[in-house]
Amino acid sequence: MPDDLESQLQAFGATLESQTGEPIANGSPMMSSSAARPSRRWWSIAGAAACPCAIVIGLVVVTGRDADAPAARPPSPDASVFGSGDSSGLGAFEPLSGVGAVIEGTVVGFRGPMAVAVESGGVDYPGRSEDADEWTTPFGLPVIVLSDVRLVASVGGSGRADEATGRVERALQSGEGIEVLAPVGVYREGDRYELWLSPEQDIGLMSYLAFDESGKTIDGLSVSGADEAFRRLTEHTGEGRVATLAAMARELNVASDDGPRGPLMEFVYGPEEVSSEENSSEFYDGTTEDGATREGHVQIDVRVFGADPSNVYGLRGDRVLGWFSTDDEGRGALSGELPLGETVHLVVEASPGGVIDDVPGVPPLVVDTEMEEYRAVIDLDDDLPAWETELSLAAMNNRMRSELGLPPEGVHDDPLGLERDGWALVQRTTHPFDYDPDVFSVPCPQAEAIEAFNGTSQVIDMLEHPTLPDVDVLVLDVGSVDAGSRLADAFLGSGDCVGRAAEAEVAETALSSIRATWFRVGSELAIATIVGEQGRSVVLGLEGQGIDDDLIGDLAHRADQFLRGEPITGAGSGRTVSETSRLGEAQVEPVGGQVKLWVSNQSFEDDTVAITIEIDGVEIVADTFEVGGQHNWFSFMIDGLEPGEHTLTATSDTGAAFEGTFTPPPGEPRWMVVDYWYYPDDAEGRHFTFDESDEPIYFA
Amino acid sequence: VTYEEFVRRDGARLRAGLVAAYGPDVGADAAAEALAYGFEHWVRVGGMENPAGYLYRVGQSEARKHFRPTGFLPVAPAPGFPEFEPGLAPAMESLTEPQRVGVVLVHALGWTQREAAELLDVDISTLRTHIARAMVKLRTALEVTVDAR
Repeated sequence: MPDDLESQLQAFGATLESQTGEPIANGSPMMSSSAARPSRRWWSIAGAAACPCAIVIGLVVVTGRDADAPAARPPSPDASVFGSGDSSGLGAFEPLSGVGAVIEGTVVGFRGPMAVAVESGGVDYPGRSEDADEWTTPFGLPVIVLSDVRLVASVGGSGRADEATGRVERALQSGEGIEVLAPVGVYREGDRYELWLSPEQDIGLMSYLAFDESGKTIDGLSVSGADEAFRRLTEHTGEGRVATLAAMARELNVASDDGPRGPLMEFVYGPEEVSSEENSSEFYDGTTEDGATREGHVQIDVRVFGADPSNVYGLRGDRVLGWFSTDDEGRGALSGELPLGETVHLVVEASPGGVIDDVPGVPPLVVDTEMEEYRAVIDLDDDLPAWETELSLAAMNNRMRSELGLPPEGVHDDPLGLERDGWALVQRTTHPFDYDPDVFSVPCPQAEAIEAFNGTSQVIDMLEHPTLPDVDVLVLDVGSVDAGSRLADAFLGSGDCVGRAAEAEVAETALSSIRATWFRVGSELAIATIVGEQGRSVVLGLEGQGIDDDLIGDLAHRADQFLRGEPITGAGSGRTVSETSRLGEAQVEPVGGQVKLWVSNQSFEDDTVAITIEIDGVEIVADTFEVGGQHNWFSFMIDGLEPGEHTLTATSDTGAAFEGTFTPPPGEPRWMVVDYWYYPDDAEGRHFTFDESDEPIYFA
Repeated sequence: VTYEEFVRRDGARLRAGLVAAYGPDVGADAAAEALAYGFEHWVRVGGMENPAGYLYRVGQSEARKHFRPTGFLPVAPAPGFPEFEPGLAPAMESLTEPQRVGVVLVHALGWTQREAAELLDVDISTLRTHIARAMVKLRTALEVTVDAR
């Protein structure tokens, strides 16, 4: 038994994957999930067969690959930054991996629900039940019924491939005919169908390839470049399609069992200079456990713009270090760790299976920087590539923003062309209220907000606001425009008018929203100015603007309290509660018997939720929480809890309720999280989750 | 990104995270439910900044209905697989969920820190903190002092 933790974890991972029954390790071949709903493409088989006029006459369905198969190349670690990547590295040939048997037969029908052609493409399946108890076929999907079946080829190359062949042979010997749920591949040969099968044929439901009668892939149902890749391989072998693809499938199966690459794989992917594991450990997994860069190494982050989306790109030093593909706009990224002083070249593989070569015009990148991270941008938009290296993080971000058509960070332009008195009006936001005049008697007009900046200050005009018309909210010299920008939260959410029966109720909601927002912003401003400008009024802009005097007084009082470091909201029973910060700000951690409570709305479906939290019946939090980007976490410090068990309850205005207990050890700090969560079809409905920890809880 | 491309690219990672969190039985089922949900609502989910992270949350909701707090991870190697300490699974189960998911994804299943962080929808620095703490706890629990490089 290995005595190091790393090896034990890897062994544990292997067992975990085997017990899961589906690939979960990085580098395992991607296969479809048994629970993923059927691909519309798969249903095209049924749709095509049901409609003689359909042009789709053959189709390859990927049902998965040998679970033990390593990726032929290391997966791109960062391809998702800009778009999809070919994580397996097998490209157009990936569907062949795992194929075990090729059969030929006559399709005599389908069992199960049929598909209906959809005008916009693909097919729908209205007859399929969502209730598993009503399924008459596996997963409620159609089964292809065959007759007069013969075995065309046994691919072999792995135990699992042989298993597929064995199934076919046993079925043929039994004489009971064969039914196929999800063949790996389908070709039509006159009235006969040729089916490529893998052992996972009864669970795999993904499809990527479709072929017409001539063997040409069909747009929208094919892996990019499959036509050319298959043609090239067939020309290379001089054999027919079945013999060539079966040979390739066998080599892929052998490689998946840690065997060597065969000649066809070498023709497609090139010689295997080093194992993918060595590549991975060098380039992708080089950081130490605590996240620090290894001695003598440097983190690199390379972004490429203007690349050809049909190509695959990589970095090559002494060997190929990693691959990435781009999004449809030709944007891609690769990051990892390299030894200091390494020289790497941007290389391109023109179409899957093509020749790997340096990208013309791009100089080698020499990673000899003393910077914490080596960042480079390479723009291939024009015939003459351009590049920038050793970029700062801000420069890199702004370069990306420029590529995406966004203004640079921290610089506000005047997109509306409405400059007024030196203010650049940067955003005009309309807040339409969801109002059903047949149900509610009080109209909910839309509100319009204009936000403007002049570099250090911010103004928000509330125009046509249902409650606060013609009010300017002005934040002077806040030192942080970003903090001020949250004033936009003061507006009613789009759903606030729903269910409101009286204007007064709408007004009350608006005032509560402003109160909560100012409370937060006021706290932030207090933090920002606490050293130099103690006691500054953070609600200056509201004074004299017709806002409720009590609200102004309350906000000013709270801000002053905060500036003096006093707890802001009393919770009774000798305990105090203060809102300490929101995620992303400097955090104050609890000490002694303090409890830090994080609260968040995590539901995109309910983007604004009023949450009330009580401990032992005493209100701790009563506020409105926006989901934002799911990173809106607010912390509340609770002090003075008595020893022993306490009951925490959380309720929302959407009907969620939670009750749980916690027992903080006397004199020791605790961290707790309450988050609100809901998504459609969630059988649990709107609900809270509650977690407790004896150490700080980290979010994004 | 189409749903099929998403599953092909991120399906295994999503499944890995939920299996790490809730074990192979509940986790795989939860992943299946999450992917099914993603299929049904792909127009909306596919437009999100981080569909995998969102569906991971969906899977969490599904898993928590059936999750049992202990005994959900394999304590012995599967036949023919490399051995590991019998105390590893209980030690893993004693970790917090993000700690366990982080260490399993990165150290047991070979996902990059960036990929794991994206799935959990946390910054990579946050993930590293989770992993570092998890490793300390595991070393202590297993009395392991040797680390491979």
